[in-house]
Amino acid sequence: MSLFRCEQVNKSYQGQPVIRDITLTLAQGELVGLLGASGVGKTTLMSILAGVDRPDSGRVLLKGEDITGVAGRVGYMLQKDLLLPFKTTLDNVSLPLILKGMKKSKAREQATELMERFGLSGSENKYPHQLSGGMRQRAALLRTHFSGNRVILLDEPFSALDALTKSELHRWYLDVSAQMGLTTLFITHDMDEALTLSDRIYVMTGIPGEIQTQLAISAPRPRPADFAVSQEFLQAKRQLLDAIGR
Amino acid sequence: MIKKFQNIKSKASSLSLLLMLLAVWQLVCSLELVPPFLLPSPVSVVRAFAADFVPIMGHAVVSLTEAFAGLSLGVAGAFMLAVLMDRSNYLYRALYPIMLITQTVPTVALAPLLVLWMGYGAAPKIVLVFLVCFFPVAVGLLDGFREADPDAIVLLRSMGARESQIFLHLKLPGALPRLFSGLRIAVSYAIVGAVIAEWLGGSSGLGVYMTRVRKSYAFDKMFAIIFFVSGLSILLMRLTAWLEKKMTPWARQGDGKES
Ligand SMILES: Nc1ncnc2c1ncn2[C@@H]1O[C@H](COP(=O)(O)OP(=O)(O)OP(=O)(O)O)[C@@H](O)[C@H]1O
Ligand SMILES: [Mg+2]
Repeated sequence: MSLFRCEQVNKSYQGQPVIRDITLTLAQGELVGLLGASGVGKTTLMSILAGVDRPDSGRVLLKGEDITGVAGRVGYMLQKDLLLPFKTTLDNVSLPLILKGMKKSKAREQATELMERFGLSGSENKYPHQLSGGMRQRAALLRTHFSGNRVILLDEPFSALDALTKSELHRWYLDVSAQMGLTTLFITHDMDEALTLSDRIYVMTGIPGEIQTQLAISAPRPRPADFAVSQEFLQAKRQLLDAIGR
Repeated sequence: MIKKFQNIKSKASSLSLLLMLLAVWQLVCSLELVPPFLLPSPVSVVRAFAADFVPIMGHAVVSLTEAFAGLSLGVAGAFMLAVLMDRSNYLYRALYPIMLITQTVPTVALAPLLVLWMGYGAAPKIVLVFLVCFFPVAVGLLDGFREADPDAIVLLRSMGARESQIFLHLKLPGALPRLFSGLRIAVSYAIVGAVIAEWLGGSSGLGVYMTRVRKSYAFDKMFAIIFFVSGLSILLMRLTAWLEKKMTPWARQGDGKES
């Protein structure tokens, strides 16, 4: 049974349909990519899944419970890291716990426990502008983790990083999400990234955006070193290219 | 580091310029280039200040009390109005243009009217200070609230934040730098506002003292009190700057290894 799903989601802005009949599911522990060209409606879909926007029709379900338009149930990381400049790293990261009514000292304690696993120990009392790009991203990811039921929606989490930091963060995220039992849906423009990280990939195309194809990658995670030249990788990439129509 | 050094250097050079000006002034007076009753020498100004020190302090307490009362009320009122206007788009659209226009009105020009309406007590002084402080603080706060990143608001909503939590965790801290730049203007107006209102009548306060020494053509005392009032304003602005530094630690320069 699926942990998180949406059914027949539609959304228009000013009479213009942006996404149509989107249905997708996430099983416990899955890492699923959502691939699509710019403007196809990926962010629109995600803000509906996160409950900050309402669909015109369709519904969003978490463990069978209807959470359409209800925020705060799953973690959502926007396209920018959006660490608040006036809070320290520790206070930024523990913010979701405080918003849920946890005592500040307890929230800080919980956050401190995970700082090391997220490669942030020693940065607790620094302000965001004092962190590197990779650290900011990890801090935003840790904050996202604290904001929801181990279901995590990431809008282009790695796209602003340089290649080296990106692949380092990929490996790290695979590790952390396995250890912590996270279920992740992430948006990307980058086919190689989608192929490296995902158990499954949804491809969105068209105006309004629709799910055109989905595709499963069977190679185990983390992928073997020669995965990028394997038969499966090349075949999957061909399928993605065909689906996107480039 | 370099910046600090330059800071010290610029402070040192403005201090030496100031000392030089004082020396020239003293020289002009000692050589009696200007009649002493028109331009008292720095030394006699200091002497006049020392001679009247106790009464001046008494007047200062009165003026400062009025200034603080008006300032506190002004900031409190500005805060409430800014919160309301941030909450309600209708209020915002209706009031914001008016607030900007009132900023161009020289509020101190209202002082005579206030005295006529409210008499010679503390009330017209406090009201004038209130008026001069209210608008810069309200506009600063409101601009600060409105500057909050819409995406950050979406993020906090996605974490299930209520409006009041969005205000507390995002809008308010984000508006602090704006609040303080409004406050810096407000405190410098506050003292001057109180003094000007006192010119127009009353029994005590630095403005009353100024009127008295003016009527007796005591130029040395005039100069003493002018310097004293400017000194008070500078002190209050410094205090505000210090408070800002305390309350916005994230705005500090450096990589966090210094502090
Ligand atoms: N609040 C809004 N009001 C009106 N139109 C909007 C709004 N948000 C998005 N749109 C429109 O919906 C379409 C999809 O936007 P969306 O941000 O979901 O695309 P995206 O797939 O995330 O693109 P990118 O990869 O560039 O981030 C665009 O044409 C955009 O102009
Ligand atoms: Mg987007």
